[in-house]
Amino acid sequence: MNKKIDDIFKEKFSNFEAKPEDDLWSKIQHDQRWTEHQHRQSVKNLIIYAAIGVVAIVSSIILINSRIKSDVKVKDEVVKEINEMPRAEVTSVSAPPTLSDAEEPALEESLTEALIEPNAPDKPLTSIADEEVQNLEAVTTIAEPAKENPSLPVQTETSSKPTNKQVKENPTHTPVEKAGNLQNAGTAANPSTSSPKPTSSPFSIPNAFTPNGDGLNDVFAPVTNSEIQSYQLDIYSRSGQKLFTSRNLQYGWNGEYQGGMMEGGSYIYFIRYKDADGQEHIDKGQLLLIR
Amino acid sequence: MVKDKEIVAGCQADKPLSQRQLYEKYCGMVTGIALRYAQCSADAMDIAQDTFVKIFINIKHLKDGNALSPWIHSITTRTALDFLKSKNPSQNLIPIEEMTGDIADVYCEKYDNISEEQLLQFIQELPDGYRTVFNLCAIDGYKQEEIAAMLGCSHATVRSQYFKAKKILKEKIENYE
Repeated sequence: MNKKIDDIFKEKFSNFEAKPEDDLWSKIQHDQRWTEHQHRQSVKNLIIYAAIGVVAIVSSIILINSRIKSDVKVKDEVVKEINEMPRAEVTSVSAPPTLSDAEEPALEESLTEALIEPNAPDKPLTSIADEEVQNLEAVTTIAEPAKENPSLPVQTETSSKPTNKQVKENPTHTPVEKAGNLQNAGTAANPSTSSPKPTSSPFSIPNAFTPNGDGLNDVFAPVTNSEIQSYQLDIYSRSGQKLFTSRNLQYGWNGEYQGGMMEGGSYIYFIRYKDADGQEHIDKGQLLLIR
Repeated sequence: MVKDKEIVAGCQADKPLSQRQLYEKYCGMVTGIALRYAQCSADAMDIAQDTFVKIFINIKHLKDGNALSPWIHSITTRTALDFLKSKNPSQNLIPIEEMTGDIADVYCEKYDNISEEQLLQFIQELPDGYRTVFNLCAIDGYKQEEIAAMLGCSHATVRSQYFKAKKILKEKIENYE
């Protein structure tokens, strides 16, 4: 049978394999080019690992530094907040949020000058806040005419102080009785306008809670109907120690810190949030933990 | 058998185990190719050694792990050519009178009882130039134009060397016994 000579060899040798000499592997292992290459490779790896290590250390230092700075910043803010708080409020059992207190002068200004002058230094107002909050609805409705009537303030300017004292001395006043007083005096509109939450805040924030497991007010959390883009609640002790953080509106503080229940007293809350327009706000104030 | 893809990945990560696996799997093929191109088995072992060193150093450039076998094949071939060139630089430069006219296919009978080893020996006995061209063209399937470019000679030279190689081999086979 005749066959092309190339085909003969192609058939035999295209997949031809042969056994190498036994020492081929060790020759390869000791080949100078190969050992030099491996050496270069290991030096290269060493340099890469060293570089990665350095980068990791540097970045962690930067990270830790920025953490410390921001913590210090927040702590400063809290300490400032505590220092700014009026003493009377701190001891009062159900003090109104401090923000409303700060709002007070502004609101007063928007009324008449005659009203401000005698009332601004009148701190006793805060001590009746308890009653005021309870009678909020009644008072606000009655306060309306007082605001609308510009002739009243002038008329009652001199009688404003005695009226306040009267209210203070009789804390058991019924809403109706007080309404009568207010109508006459026309000055007590100030505490009533300060009682509602500031219109700028979309949250209604309780000022006290009782984490005793009875299912009532066991958890402190702000409530809102507005659209909030981002939200963070921080709770601090009066010494400025951070006790709690939450980014979830549904998840509030239950009065615990590191597994233990905190004792009754007042604490500071910070609420940082972005409203629907992306504007950043901070609501802050104090809350009372009641045992 | 370990998959080529895993071997390649391991070798690219400089793992000694994968390098050993690659060697075990392909040393037969590399040695076989080297023996065809070399004049003797000592040369073939040198070619094989060079080939594996090149493989381990350059495997990081191999992108497709499934193409390992053809990649090793072509590295072995090129290493063999380099080896022959460095061993005898003038061999391929010897001008061979170019043949004109038709080059007929060379046919051969009586090849059945010739062993693989004997055929291999016939190849090795060819002059370097003939052997190289015959290997590249007849067994490894390169085109004559490609071979001319690889060896840096004219297509006509390749064609005439190929033809002469075949004639010599035919004589060897027919005179064997």
